[in-house]
Amino acid sequence: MIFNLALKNLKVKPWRTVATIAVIALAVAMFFCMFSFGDAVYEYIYAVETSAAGSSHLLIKGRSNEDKLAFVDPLYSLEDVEYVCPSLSLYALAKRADGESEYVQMRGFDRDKLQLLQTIEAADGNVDDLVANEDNVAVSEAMAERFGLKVGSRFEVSSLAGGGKSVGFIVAVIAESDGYFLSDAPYCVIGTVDGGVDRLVGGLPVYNEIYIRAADGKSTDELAAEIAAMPEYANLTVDVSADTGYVKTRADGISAPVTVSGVAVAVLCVAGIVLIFALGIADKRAYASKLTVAGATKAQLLGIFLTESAIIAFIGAAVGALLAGGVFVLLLKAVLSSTLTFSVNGLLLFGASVAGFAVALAASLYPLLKVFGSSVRENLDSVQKPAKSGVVFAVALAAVTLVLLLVENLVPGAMGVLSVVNMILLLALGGAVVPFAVRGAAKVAGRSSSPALKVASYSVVRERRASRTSQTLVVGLMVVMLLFVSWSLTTSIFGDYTKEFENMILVTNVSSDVNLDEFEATQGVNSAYFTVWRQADISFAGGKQSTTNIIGSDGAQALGLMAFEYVTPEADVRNILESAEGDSIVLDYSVHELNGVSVGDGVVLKVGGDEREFTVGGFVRHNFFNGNYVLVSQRLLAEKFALSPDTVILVADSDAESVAEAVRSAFSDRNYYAVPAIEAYKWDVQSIDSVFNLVGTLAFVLTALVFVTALAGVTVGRSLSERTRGTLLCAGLSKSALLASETAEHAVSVLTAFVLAFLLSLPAALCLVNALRLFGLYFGFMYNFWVAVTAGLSVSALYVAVPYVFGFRKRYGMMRR
Amino acid sequence: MLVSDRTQFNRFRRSVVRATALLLIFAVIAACCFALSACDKNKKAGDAEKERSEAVTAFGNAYLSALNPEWSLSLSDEALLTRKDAGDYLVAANSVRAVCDVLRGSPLQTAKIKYAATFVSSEEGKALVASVKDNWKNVFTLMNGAGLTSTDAQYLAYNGLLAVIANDTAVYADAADKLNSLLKNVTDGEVRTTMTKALTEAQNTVSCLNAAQPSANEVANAVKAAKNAIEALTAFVYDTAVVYGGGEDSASSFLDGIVSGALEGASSADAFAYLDAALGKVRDLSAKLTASAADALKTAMKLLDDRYGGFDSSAGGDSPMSVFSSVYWASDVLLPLCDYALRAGNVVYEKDESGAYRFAQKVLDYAKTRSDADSSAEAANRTILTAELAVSLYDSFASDSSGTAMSKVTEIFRSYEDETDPESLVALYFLYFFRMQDENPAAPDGDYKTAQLALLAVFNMQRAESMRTRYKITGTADAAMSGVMSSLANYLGLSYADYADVNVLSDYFYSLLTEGGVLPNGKSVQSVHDKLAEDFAATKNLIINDICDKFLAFESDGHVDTLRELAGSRILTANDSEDVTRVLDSAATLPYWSRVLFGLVK
Repeated sequence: MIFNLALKNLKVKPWRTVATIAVIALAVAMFFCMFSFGDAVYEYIYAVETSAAGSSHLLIKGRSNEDKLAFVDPLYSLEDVEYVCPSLSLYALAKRADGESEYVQMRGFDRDKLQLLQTIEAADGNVDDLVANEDNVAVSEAMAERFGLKVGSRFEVSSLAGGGKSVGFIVAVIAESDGYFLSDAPYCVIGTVDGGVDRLVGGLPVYNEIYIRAADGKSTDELAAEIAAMPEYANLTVDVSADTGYVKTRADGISAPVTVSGVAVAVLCVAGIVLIFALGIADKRAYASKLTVAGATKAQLLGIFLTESAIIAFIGAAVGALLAGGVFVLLLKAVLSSTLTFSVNGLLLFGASVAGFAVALAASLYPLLKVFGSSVRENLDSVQKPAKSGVVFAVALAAVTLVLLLVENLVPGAMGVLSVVNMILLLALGGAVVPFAVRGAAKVAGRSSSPALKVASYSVVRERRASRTSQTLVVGLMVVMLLFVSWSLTTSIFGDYTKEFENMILVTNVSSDVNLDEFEATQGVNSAYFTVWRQADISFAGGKQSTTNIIGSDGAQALGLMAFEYVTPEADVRNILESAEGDSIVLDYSVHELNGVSVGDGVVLKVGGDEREFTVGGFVRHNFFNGNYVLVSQRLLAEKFALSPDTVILVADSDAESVAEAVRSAFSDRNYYAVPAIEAYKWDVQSIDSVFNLVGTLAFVLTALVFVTALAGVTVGRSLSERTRGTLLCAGLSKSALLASETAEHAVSVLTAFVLAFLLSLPAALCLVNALRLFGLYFGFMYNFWVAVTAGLSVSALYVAVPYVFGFRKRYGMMRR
Repeated sequence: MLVSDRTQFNRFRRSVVRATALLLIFAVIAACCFALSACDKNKKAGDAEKERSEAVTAFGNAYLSALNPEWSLSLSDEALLTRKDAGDYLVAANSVRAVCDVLRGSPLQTAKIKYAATFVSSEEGKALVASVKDNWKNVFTLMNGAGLTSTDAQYLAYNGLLAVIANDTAVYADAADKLNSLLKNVTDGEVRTTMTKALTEAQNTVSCLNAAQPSANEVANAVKAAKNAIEALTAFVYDTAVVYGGGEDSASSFLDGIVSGALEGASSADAFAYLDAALGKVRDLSAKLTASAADALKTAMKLLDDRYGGFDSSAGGDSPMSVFSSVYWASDVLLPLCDYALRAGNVVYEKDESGAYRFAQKVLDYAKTRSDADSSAEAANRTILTAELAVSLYDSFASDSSGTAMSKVTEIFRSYEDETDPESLVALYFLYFFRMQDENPAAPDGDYKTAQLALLAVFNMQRAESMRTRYKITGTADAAMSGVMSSLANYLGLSYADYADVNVLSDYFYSLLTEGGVLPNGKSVQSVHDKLAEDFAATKNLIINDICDKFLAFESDGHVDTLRELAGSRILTANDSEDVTRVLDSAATLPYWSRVLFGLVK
C-alpha cells in the first residue's frame, strides 16, 4: 500500500516528477563529466605522445654526432623482452600536387612488424596492401588532402642524405587519425624498410630506431641499463620510448582549471537537487497533514516519502548514469578525436550515480523534517515559523570566508587545499546571502508604480520558492562564470606559450661545428642560437619531481630567445650562465612558488638515465612550457652529461614558414631539417587546441545544464503557485500584466543573483588560480571580466525570457482545484 | 459493442496499412541506395580498370617510341603501307603488346605504370631502352629508373619470361600474317622489297621456332618449376644493381658499391650496419637458393638456352638471349659463391681490442679517403681490403675439420672429377684459361691445347648455332660464319681439303658437325658433341689438378702470409706514398692469376 501510495503521488504531478528526475540525472552527468575530464585529457595526450612509440617501453636511437644506425641482432638474444621492433625513420622532402615540397617523416618497418607498435585503421584502401609491394605506404587523411593524394597515387620523396636522391612511393592506405597518425607533424608516412624507405639511404635495410617492449614483470629501467651496457649500443641513446611522466604533467596542467571548477560544479549539483526537493515542501506538508488526519503514523509517512524519493532518486541516478557516459564520450570524440577510444571510468560513473542517489535521498528528507517539526494545521497551511538563523548563518559564513581568504593569500604555503575550501565557501556564501539580496531588490522594485513589478515584488518577498530559485541561480551563475574564466585562463596560458614559438625555427641534424653566421646571413633570420634542447626530469628536495625542458646555450645566449622577466637581476643571471665554473642553473619562478625552492638549494637533473646535481642560481619568469624549463650553460651540460649542442634555433623577423623555406634552399646541400617551431610542435598545439575546444564545449554544455536545472526549478515552483495566479486573474489582473509580473519576478531573481555571483566570482577565480598549485601549476591572477559578464548575462537574459519563450501566458486560467 | 469493435478494427487496419506503406517506402529507398552504391562501386572499378588500361597503353607507346620515334601501338595499316620498317615495327609492337599484357595483369600499381611510361619517354629512358639490345644488364637500370621495386622486377622477370615463351611464335606469325595482308596493297617498290624481306624473315623465324627443341611447353614447365629460384636471383641481382650500380662481380666492386652509398658522415658502427645488411642480402639468396632450386634453375636456363640461344644476335654475349647461358653457367656455382661470400664476410664481424668493428672502420676510412687519394693509394687500399676478405675466406676453411684451408678449397674442384657433361665443366675450364693464367701465358700445347681448343669449340658451337639461326631467318650469312664453321671443322681434325667441296653454310655441313657423318670424300666425321665429351673427359683431371696445384702452391709458397700482411695494413692516404708503394709491391708478388681472381687487376 505504501508503495502504491508513493507511485500514485508521483503520477499526480507528472511534470514535477520528470523535472526532479531530470535534475538528479543532470547532476549525476555533470558530476561525472567534470571529474572524468582530467582522465579523458590524459588519455588523449597520452595517445598523441605515444603515437610514435605505441606499446613499446624503450627506444634505442641514433645520435646525430655519434652512431646513427643500430644493429638489431644482439637484442634478440635478450631475455624478458616481449618484442623488438626495428625501424628506419627519416625526414625527407615530399612533393605536393602543386609542385612545392614539404617535410614528411618516413617510417619504415619490417614487413611483419608494420602494426606491431600501432594498428593502422584504413579510412580508404586496404592495410594488407602495405606489404604487397615495397613502395606501398600509408599516409594520413590530412596528408592526403594537403598533397592531393588518393589511394593509388604516386608521390616523389627526396632524401636529405645520400645526395638528395628522389624515389617514388605509392599510397596504398589513407589512414584514420589514430595510432601512428595521431601525431602527424611533420606528416607521417608508414611503409616497409627493405626496398621501401631504405631506398632513400642507399638501398640496404638498416635501422636507426629500435623499439623494445619489456616482458611482463621486467623492470624497464633494468632492461634499459642492460641494453645500454652492451657495447653495440654504447654510442646510441637508450631511453624510455615515451615520457609518460611528462604526459601526466601536461595533462594535469591543461585539465587542472576544469578539475578545480568541478568542485564548484559538484556544489551546484547538490544545490540543484536540494532546490528541486525544497520547492515541493508545501505540497509535501499538505499531503502529510492529510494523511495524518486520515490516520497515517509517522513511520508510514516516512515510508511513503522515502519510497517516493527512492524511486525518483534511483531513476534519476540510472538515467544520469546512462546519459553521462554516452554524452561524455560523444563529446570527447566530437572535440578531441573521432577515432581514439576513450574509456569510461566505471568506478567514477558508479560513484557519481551513488552520490546523486544519496544526495537526492538526503535532500528529500528535509521536507520530512519540516513535516515532523510542525503541527497538522501548520503543515496544511504551510506556515513558516519566522527564523533569524538565516541571517546569523549568512553573517557568520561571510566572516569565516573572509578570514580564510585572508589566510589563504597572506600566509605562505596556505594556498592549495584551502583555496578549494574557500571556493566552496564562496559558493555557499552566495547561496546564503542571495535570498536577502533578492528580497531587498524585490522591495526596491515594489516601490514602482507598475502593477507587474508590485505583484512580482510581493511574490518574491512572500514566497520561499523565489529565494530557493535565486540560490540555485547564484550558485549556477558563479559556476558558469568560473567555467568560462577557466576556459579563458586555459586558453590564455597555453596560447601565450605557443605564441613564443611563432617566430622560431628549429634546425636539427646539424654538425657540431656548424657556423651560425651562415644562418644569420640568410634572409629573414634575425638571430641564431646553437643549443641543447631536450627533456629531462628534475627533482627537488623533499622528493618532488617533474618533467622539464633543458635549454642549454653558450653562455647566456638563451636569454635572447624570449623576453624573460628577471626575478633575480639580469646581470646576476647572465653571470650564472657565463660563469666558467660552478654548477648553477636558472629556473622559472613558479618552481619557487610551487616547490619552495630558493637560490642556493640543490636540485637533480636526470637526462637519458644519468642523474647529476646542480645548484639553483637564480629565477626568471616566463610562460614558456608553463615554467617547466631550465636554463643551463653549455659548459655544464658538457661537463655533467657530455651533451653537446645539436639544435640551432633561429629567430625569424618575418613569417617563420617563408624563412624556414629560405633556410632549406640556402642549405639544400646539407642534411639539415629546418622547420618552424609551431610546425614542429604542431600536434602538441593542435592537441592542446582540441582540449581547449573541449573545455569550451564543456563550459557551454554545463551552462545549458545550469539553465535546465533552473528551468526545472521554475517548472516545479510554478506548479505550486498556480492557485495564486488564478486568484490574481480572478481579481482582475490581465494576462499580459501577469506575464509581465512573472517576467519581472525572474528578472529580479536572476539579476540580483548575477550581480552577487559576479562579485563573488572574483575572489572565487582567485581561489581557482591558487588551487592550481595542487597540480603543480603556478600562475598570476587572471580574470577576463568580459568573459564572466557575457556568460552570466547570457544565462540571465535567457532566464528572464523564459515566461515568454515557454508560453506561460497560454496556460493562464482561472481554474479551481 | 459491435460498433466499438468495428471502429477498433478499422483503426487497427489503418495502422497496419500505414505501417506497411512506410515499410515499403523504406524498402524502396534502401533498394535504391543499394543499387546506387553498387553502381558507384562498379563505376569506380570500371574507371580504375580503364585508367590502368590507358596507363599500360601509354607505356607501350612510350617504349615503342623509344625504339623509333615514329612508332606507336596504334599505327594504322595505311601508315604501315609506306613504312620500310613495317616488319621491324610489327615484331616490336607484338612483343610490346605481350609485355603490356603482363603489365596489365601484374600487381604493379597503375600510378607506377604511368610513371614508367613518362620515364621511358624521357631522354634518359630512351637511351636505356636503346642500350638494352646490346647489354641486357641495362634492363635493371631501366627498371630502376622507371621506379620499379624488387617485387616488380621479380614478377616481370618470371611472368615476362613465361610471356616470351608463350608468344614466341605468335609474335612472328602475327607479324607475318599482317605483312602478307599489307603486301597486297603496297605500291612503293622499296617498301615492297623490304616488306617482302621482313615477311620471309618472320616466316623463317616461325619455322625455326617450330623446329626448335625443346618445345615451348617443355621450356615453360621448366621455368615454372624454377619460379622460386628465378625470383630469388632476380631480387638479388636487382638489389645489387641498385645498390652497387651493377658493377662487376668482384670483391673490390662490392666495396666500391658500399662506400658510394650513404656512408658519408657515418661512424664505424654505421658502416658495420651497412655491411651486415649487405651480407644479409647474400644470406637471403643463399636461404632461398636450395640445391633443388639451383638444379631447377639450371634446367630451366639450359632449356631456355637450347630453345632461344640460337637467336642470340650479338657477338659480345650481352644480348638479352645470352642471359640464359650466362645464368646457366652461373647456376652451378651460385650456391658455392654465396657460401664463399658469407665466409669472406665473416671479417665484418671481427672486433678489435676496444670492441669496435675493425673491418667496418677500415671500410669507412677507405670511403673517406677515396676522394682525396690518388689512384695508387686507392689501388693499395682496395688491395688491403680485398686481402682482408680473402684471408677471412681462407681462414673460414681452416676452421673447418682437419686439413689445410687450401686442401678444402681444392676438394671443391676435385668434385668435378666425376662430372661427365662438358657443359657443366665449361665454368671450370673458363676459370682456368681466363682467370688463372699467368700474365703473358705461353701458348698451350699437348693436353692443355686440347683442353683450350675444347673450350673454344664450346663457344664456337654457340656462335655457330646463333649464326645458323640468323642465316636461316635472313638468308644472309654472317661474315664470320664461315670462319666459325671452319674452326669447328678443324677442331674435329678435318683439313680444308676434306670439305673444300662442301658449302660450310649448308645444313648438311652443320649436321655433319653436330651429329657426325661421312664427308663426300668418304672420311668419317665425329660429331662436335662427341669430341667435346672425349676431350673434356681426357683433360678434365689435368685441368682440375692444375687448378688444385695452383691453389696449393699459393698456400705453400707463402702467398697466404703475404695476404695476411696486406690485410694487416691500415688504410692509406696520398701522403703515405712509401706504404702505398710497399703494399703495391707486395701485392705484385702474388701470382698474377690470384690478382685477376680477386679483381686487383682489370
